[in-house]
Amino acid sequence: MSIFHAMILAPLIYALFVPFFYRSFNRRLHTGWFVIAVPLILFIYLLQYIPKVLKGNTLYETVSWIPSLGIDFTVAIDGFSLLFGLLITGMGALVVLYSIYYLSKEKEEALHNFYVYLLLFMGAMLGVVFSDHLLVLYVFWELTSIASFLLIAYWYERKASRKGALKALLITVTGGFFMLAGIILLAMMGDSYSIRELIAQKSVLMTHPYFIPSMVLLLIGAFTKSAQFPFSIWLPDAMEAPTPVSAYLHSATMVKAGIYLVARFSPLFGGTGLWFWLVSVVGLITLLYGSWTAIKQTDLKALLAYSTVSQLGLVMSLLGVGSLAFYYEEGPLFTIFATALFAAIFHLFNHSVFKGSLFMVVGIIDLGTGTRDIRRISGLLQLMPVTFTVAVISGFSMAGLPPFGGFLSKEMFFQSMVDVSDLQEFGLGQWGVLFPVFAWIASVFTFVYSMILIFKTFTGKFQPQKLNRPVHEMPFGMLVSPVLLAFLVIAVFFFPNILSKWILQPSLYSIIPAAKQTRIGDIQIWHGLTPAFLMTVGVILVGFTLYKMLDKWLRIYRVFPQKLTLNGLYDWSLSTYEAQSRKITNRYMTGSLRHYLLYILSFLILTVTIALIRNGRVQLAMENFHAIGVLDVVIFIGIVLAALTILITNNRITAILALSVVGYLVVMLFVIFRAPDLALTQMVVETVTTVLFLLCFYHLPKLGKRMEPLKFKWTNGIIAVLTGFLVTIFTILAYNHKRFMPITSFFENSYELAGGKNIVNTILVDFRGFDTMLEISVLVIAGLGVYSLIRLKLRERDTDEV
Amino acid sequence: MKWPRPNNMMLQVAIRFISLIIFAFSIYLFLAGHNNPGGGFIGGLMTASSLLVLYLAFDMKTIKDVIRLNFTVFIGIGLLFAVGTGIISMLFGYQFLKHFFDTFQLPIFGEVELTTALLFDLGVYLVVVGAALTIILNIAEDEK
Amino acid sequence: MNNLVVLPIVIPLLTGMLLILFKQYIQLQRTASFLALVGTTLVHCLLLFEIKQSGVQAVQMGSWPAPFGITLATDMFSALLLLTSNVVALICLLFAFHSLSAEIEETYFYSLFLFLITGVNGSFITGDLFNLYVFFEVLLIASYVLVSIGGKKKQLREAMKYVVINVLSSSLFLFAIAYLYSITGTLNLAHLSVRVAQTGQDALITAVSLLLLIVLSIKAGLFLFFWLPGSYSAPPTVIAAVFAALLTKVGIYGIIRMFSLIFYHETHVTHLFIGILAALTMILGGLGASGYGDIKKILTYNVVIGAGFILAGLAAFSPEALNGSIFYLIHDMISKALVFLIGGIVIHLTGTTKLEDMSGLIRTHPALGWMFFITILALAGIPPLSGFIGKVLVTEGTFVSGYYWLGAIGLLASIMILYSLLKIFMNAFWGETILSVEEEKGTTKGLMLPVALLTTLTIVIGIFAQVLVPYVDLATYSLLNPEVYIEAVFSGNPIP
Repeated sequence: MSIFHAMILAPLIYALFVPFFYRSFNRRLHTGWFVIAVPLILFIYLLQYIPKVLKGNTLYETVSWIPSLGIDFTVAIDGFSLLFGLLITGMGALVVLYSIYYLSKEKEEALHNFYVYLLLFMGAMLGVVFSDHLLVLYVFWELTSIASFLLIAYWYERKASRKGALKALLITVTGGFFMLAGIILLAMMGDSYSIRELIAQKSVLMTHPYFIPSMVLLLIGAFTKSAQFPFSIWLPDAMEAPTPVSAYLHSATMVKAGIYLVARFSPLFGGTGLWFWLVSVVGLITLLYGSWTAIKQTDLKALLAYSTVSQLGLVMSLLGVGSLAFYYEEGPLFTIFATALFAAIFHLFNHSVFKGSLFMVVGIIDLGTGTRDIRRISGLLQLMPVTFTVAVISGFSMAGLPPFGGFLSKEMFFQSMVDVSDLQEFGLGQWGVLFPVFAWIASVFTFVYSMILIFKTFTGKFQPQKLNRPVHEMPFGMLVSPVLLAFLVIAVFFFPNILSKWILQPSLYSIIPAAKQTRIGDIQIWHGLTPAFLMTVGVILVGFTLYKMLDKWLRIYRVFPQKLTLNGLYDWSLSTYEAQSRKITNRYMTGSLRHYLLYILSFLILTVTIALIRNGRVQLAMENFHAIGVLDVVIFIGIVLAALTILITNNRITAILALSVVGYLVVMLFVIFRAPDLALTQMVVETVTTVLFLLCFYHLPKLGKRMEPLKFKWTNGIIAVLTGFLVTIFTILAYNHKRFMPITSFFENSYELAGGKNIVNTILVDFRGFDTMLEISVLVIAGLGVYSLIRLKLRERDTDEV
Repeated sequence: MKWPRPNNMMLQVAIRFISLIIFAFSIYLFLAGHNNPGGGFIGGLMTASSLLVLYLAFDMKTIKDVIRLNFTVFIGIGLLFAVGTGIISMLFGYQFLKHFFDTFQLPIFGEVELTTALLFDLGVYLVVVGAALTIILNIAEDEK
Repeated sequence: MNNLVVLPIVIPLLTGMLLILFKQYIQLQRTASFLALVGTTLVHCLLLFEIKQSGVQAVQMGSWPAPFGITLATDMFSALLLLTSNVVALICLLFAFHSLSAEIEETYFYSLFLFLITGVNGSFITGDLFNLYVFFEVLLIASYVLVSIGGKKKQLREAMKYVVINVLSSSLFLFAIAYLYSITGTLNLAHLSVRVAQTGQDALITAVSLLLLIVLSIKAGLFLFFWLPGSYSAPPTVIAAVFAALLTKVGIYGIIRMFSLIFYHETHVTHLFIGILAALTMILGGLGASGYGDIKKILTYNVVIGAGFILAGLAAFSPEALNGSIFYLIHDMISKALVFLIGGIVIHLTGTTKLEDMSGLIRTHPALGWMFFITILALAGIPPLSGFIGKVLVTEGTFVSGYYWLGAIGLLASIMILYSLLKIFMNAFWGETILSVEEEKGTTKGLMLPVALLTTLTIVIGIFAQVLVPYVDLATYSLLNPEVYIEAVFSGNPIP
């Protein structure tokens, strides 16, 4: 157990103590103050690793978990995972600080739950990014889904919270199962669960038939987690969670787990056409879909949710384009595409910062005004000046405007998209031009919704009549986190290379070590009049126009059918699934014994018939059989007649007697075949059971006319006859198929062996006395059963019994 | 419940006689079991039916007053015999249910073969008697 | 020879008998049955270690050499199941103390319970086909009584179906035994294995094996599970929990034993068939579990899914897959008992089985709620709980054997499990609290301890799976190498 393992597990273990803090101290001190220490200490601890991984090297620590199955908890620290670790802990500290003011210690009755879940998430997320072993990674991966589920449903009384939580869980866990299948395939190919070992075998694995399936399965896992189209629908509904959660899980960290995974696996899968196409196209579609949908939102958080979806798509598309770097390996094309990878990492960082702060801004607005509805909020500028400033900084960064961090990464994004359009390989051809076009259109939309977010809420005329409460700026403590993030947004613009040198470049190197030889990651604010810059100018011009004319064209959204949405599809498929499941199950689970017997017997007939037909020619050799005498025939006819009587008669006594006739005739058979013990036993048993039946007879209602339809009788008849027929055939076949001497010859020496001349009896009491011992136990249990059934008749209280 | 309750003296006398014969036969069957047809199971069932006949001929209560036996206890004792023989052989370090037999020179009976299997069979006999009667009498008594 | 092997059968049987004589003394009955199960559990621990040390343990009843007498034999596979099932039974017994009415307790409940365990233990131990049949009868007849104990109308109705279907399957079982005896002339499992291997598993023997499969499938709830949802929802909670945890497992054990020890020569027919049935079972069970809003129905269909998943591992018949099946079997026993107990408590508290009529229990019963949540995750195979390792290994095993569809359906079934159980959690535990503690129809007094014990087990087994691995490996080894079992049964004697 290294310190590093302890670091990952610390939040999980600390979570166990949170309820205690809550119970003991919450009246005096907000529970959040006890929690904030964890991310803060971890953040500071992680900082010291920055120099250690600067050159793109990786540190390992391994602890065995289930060594026999090759499952080790291997922690690997490299630049990329460290970037995530810092984001997780840094954002974590800020979010906890923010939540202390956001969640009132008086009003919230389950505050400890909130922090337990949050710590659970923090530990799980650290586990995801630092695990090298894929199964362990998967363990933490699912744990993040669960933590997210619990956090979304933190206010579990609300129906919308529950629904959102379920949706998020179903989609991400299902994706997780796909990913698990992919992981298993990977492990089967490479005989290892270690990501690094798998990557090392790339050249061998690429030709393996599992290569493509495992790639697709892993991608499904990553896409669901990172809310890529069409799995994106869970993210907007996840906004039912308290806003600190949205800021933390659903924008800055958890949703980036998919991105993390894709980037992690780029060295393995990157350079193949399918990976490039899947990742980049899904990313672009998500980008466009998210930004387009964000504009029509009236709920500020929903707007941010769709914006997150779209930004995740942006990063994803960059990863897709960047994966081509693994194809070229060197030269100018390598530089171009490795730069795309760098842009992805850079934008990932920027997005976490500005989106985190924007969510906090929206939380402040929500808390201050009591609503998040854009139509009711306006003119908050004077009332919330600090919040406004933060919103402008972060919002402009999101829109890709200078002088904010987002501008830089957005420029690089445009540049990469332009670059890829020149490429002719991978079946790109003329299609390549669509990359920059999509990117540009989506960026226009991004610009528009950023403006909506900032200006609709803060400018215009303040309309207190639309709000339920007086509005004022929030306390200092609540503003600390967003203000710090806003500073960071500006700092990144002015000093990008400090960030690049210490954090981003090591990240890039750990994904693609070859990049060390280049100058990728030296960020310049001004490149000259590049296509990328021109695109940005275009975005601003067109975007601003569109924003101004918003009222005129917003009705376009109405053209799209309201019902035919992805959400509608989800709801429809869930309810249809449930209804159809019930319908199908009800169809065959009728509760009727007759049906169940029919199923079982039909299945028996079908299976055994096929099995016997496989046997080939069914030979019914009779020569080994006992010669059939007249008496046998008479007894046989008697048995058949008696059995038919049972079926036909309407009188119970007749039926019982007919049944015993069958029994006694079987006794006759035993006599004929010289089995006196059997005959004797059968006779006595038959007598006793007949008496028993007659006794029970008094309790039974009269056997009325059976009102079954004729069809029932026919089915019953056919099945019964077929079963009987089959059993007969089977018996004859088995009888004629003697392959060995039976062990019975051993028992013939019963007198010497067991001191008894009666073989049957010695078998019963000695050779197989154990069976007899148990059979009499069965008899005893039956006795107890009859006793308890008759003596204990509880009143009909169907429910109040445990 | 309506037991067939004939008040016929002749029948009752006859039944007593028959019952006794069946009972005796059942004991014979039980003892003869090891070497001839018979054994604990058949013997037990026969004994049970001999008693059953009595119940059929007489009033339930009358018989209960005469034969004051709790048949559930039969079950317990019988099972103890059956399982006990197994356990005892185990206690002596043999496998479970290992039986032993030998011939002994007894006064009156002469040369007799004794076997632990008979003890086991006795257990079977008692259980069968007890269980069969418990079941049948319970059903018969259930007049609700 | 090792008489230790007999004790798991003799201890509960003897205690159960003695308790018949002490009908009125409930306290004595409780103590004695508790001690009996503690005793068997200890014996199983000893067995486990002995098997690890010196291989399969066998004993010949009445010291008649195999194959003439009855052989009892435990390999690691049966020992693991024995231990798990007895621990689960022991914990359920604790639950019974606090949940059953005095009337039921006085009506030989503890004797019947112990007889049931006798049957279960015996089925896991016996090395003789006919003796297996007898043990099935012991546990079935005890279960007939337990299903109907209390004699409520619904119970009797369901018990009727349960009895009829099981009697049918028992008679089919006898047919199969007779056919097999006719063909091979023996009943001893090890001897059967030897003889089938000698003569080759021809089509007729395969046909008999399929007949046997049908019989055992009815018991295991594999595809022919129609009787299960009804009869498992009728009896009192603790009985339903024991049934869900143990009874179907006996059938599953039977299938695994038969198709690894004896009928392993035609895997492309028999095991593929098992795989198809397993897939259908998982799908139908999943649909049943998802379709209803009734706790009991959801839970009983979950039993069905579990059976399918375990046997998917057998179908794949590779070391990974069997390892997975065994892990999952152990997990399934524990967590099925657990989920039934919790479900029973919820019904007890709210007085209803309908999800729409319950809400917000987590405020008044947070511990119960979170334990249920953990159970859900365990059942859905979400790490790091007990179901995870089994799920991964079974899935991997199916992939290795080329049954991708089976592995995929297994994962799909996990989602169905998750969905169906989350429905219970979200409806019963979340939402507005509608019942105050005073308004509840019952209390959780004394019921939380067993639930907590089982929950701890699911967590511990998941996280410390390493401890189990050597044992499970051995179990798989003995399943895949029948000669180990055969050697122990004949212990050097000539095989006729």
